[in-house]
Amino acid sequence: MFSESGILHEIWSNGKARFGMIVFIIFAIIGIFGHFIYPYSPKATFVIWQPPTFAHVFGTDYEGHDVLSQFLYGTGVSLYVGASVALISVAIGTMVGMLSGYYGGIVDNIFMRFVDILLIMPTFPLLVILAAYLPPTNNTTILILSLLSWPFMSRVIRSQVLTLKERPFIKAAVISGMKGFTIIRKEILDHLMPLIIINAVYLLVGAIVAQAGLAFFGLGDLTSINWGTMLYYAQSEDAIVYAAWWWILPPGIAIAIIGIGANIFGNGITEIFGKRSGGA
Amino acid sequence: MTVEAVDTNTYELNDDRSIVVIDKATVIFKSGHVRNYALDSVSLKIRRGEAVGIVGESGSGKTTLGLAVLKILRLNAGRIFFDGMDISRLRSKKLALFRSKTQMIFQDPYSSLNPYNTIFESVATPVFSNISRLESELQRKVTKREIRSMVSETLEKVGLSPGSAFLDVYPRKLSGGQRQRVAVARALIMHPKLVVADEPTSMLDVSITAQVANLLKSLQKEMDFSLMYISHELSTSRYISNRIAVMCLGRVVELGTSEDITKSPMHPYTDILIRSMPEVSSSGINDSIAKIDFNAYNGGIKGCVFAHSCPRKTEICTSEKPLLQEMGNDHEVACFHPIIA
Repeated sequence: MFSESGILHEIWSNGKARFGMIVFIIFAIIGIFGHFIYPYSPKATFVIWQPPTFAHVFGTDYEGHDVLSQFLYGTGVSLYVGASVALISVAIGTMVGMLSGYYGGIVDNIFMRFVDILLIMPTFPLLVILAAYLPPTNNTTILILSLLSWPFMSRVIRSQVLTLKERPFIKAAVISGMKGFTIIRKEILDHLMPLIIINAVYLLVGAIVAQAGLAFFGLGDLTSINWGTMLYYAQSEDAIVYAAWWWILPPGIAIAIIGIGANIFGNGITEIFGKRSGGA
Repeated sequence: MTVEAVDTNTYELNDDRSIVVIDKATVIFKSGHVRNYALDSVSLKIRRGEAVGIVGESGSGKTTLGLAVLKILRLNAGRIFFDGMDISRLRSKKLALFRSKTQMIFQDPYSSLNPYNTIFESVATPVFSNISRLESELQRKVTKREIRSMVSETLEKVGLSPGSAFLDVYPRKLSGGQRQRVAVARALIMHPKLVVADEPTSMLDVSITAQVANLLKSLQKEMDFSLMYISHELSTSRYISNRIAVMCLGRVVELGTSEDITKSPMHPYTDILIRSMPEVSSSGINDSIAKIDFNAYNGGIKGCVFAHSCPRKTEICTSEKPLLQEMGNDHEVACFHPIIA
């Protein structure tokens, strides 16, 4: 579908994209394995407010939970929320964007007026209100975040499709008798891949941060252990007053690193595909 | 010499000799409240197996005419018939049949091939799009292997041999000339009845221009399709086409055999167009080419489109619209004061 060497090979040979990939792979490994392998049960309690020791590498929190265990366990939950939101938003956003852009006319009007309604609503307050009224589970959080993320994605995809469909090779496909859906799938989708990949990565990170943000306000599932709830409890139980840096840093730095990783990855992907279409 | 206007009532729409009959085709592009007539009541016939050159400057509407014939653009007025069918009425099955019989070769071989598709995928597009009809004609399944050999044969026909070596290559590995050959192969693989070539050589080097022009000419004879050769350049157009239609600001101003148009043009615009062509042998370029005032062209010109810079202009030229008139030997000209040698 892409080239002789494949898209993964190309990502790997670009320094920036490779860095981003490595960051994601490391977090994915922590997320997948950390969910099952951790030194202590994340709910087990020990001596409270304990700074890092050999027994508790990241120390313990206000109830004496082992922070490392919580972090390992919670990474998976945060990534699960992020990846689910990215997947749902990309799927809906790409579909709506492609149909809207390619067919135009009434299809475009209906979709885009609906998107307008979703886009003009102030996202975070709406998020807070929805989260406050819906049952507080992680899946609710995923649903709310997806609902509010796909409209922007569909706009980005639509505008790209609008310029793509004027290109001669699309006209050539129409003249050759290719049907609309086949044109979208065979002639247009490949060109959208960089946008889709970059947006998926940003959506993933955005969802992790948004979930942490919600949790920070005490919304969402506070019994779930993830980066967001870790920070929420650290804040509400005055970790700063106790100078418990070991409790705040792991989730905080993790969010920062994955954010930086996503940005650098995005830049790398832009470079790869810029080079590709430039040489086209 | 008696001069009689083409009577629109006797303009035969179901002409068996013609593959395409264009009847007063009008396309208007609106920008704000300005109406630009990209095509202003153009009537033209393309006969079966004939190559017609459409010549004109940028903005003369020649590409618009090509796109309209292929039902890529909608007409604002007038009709176009393909094989006796009004193309604006074609739907589903008949439209698919029409699409299988018409093809286009684009100006820019760099953007007319999808960079993400292999040469095989690009050239086989018309085959895959018409696979069900092809299978019902042959009354059997068509395998991918067969399509591959079909594509490779067609590639060899357009001078890319061995064809099999090009199948799985991406367009970025090919030169401009090779890409244009691929585009020609894609256009011809289903044996179309009509091919619209929109300045297929204008973006190629001079030596490659000749190759591609020769290729088109020989394939047109061999495969017997009608060719609409759109170009701003008279020399290649004359070489390829049997007849030439000269367009100016959305109208056909002169129509005749390639010989007549280039040797004895009757419309002053054609005359100036020919004289302004740079010749390698001469020391300078005659830049007395018509200065066309596009601003004057808003809402349709009342008189002749060329009136304001015409050396033979008289009062009638700005007040009345000249119609194409038969001048003998298939030569038609839309001028009140044609040059008669």
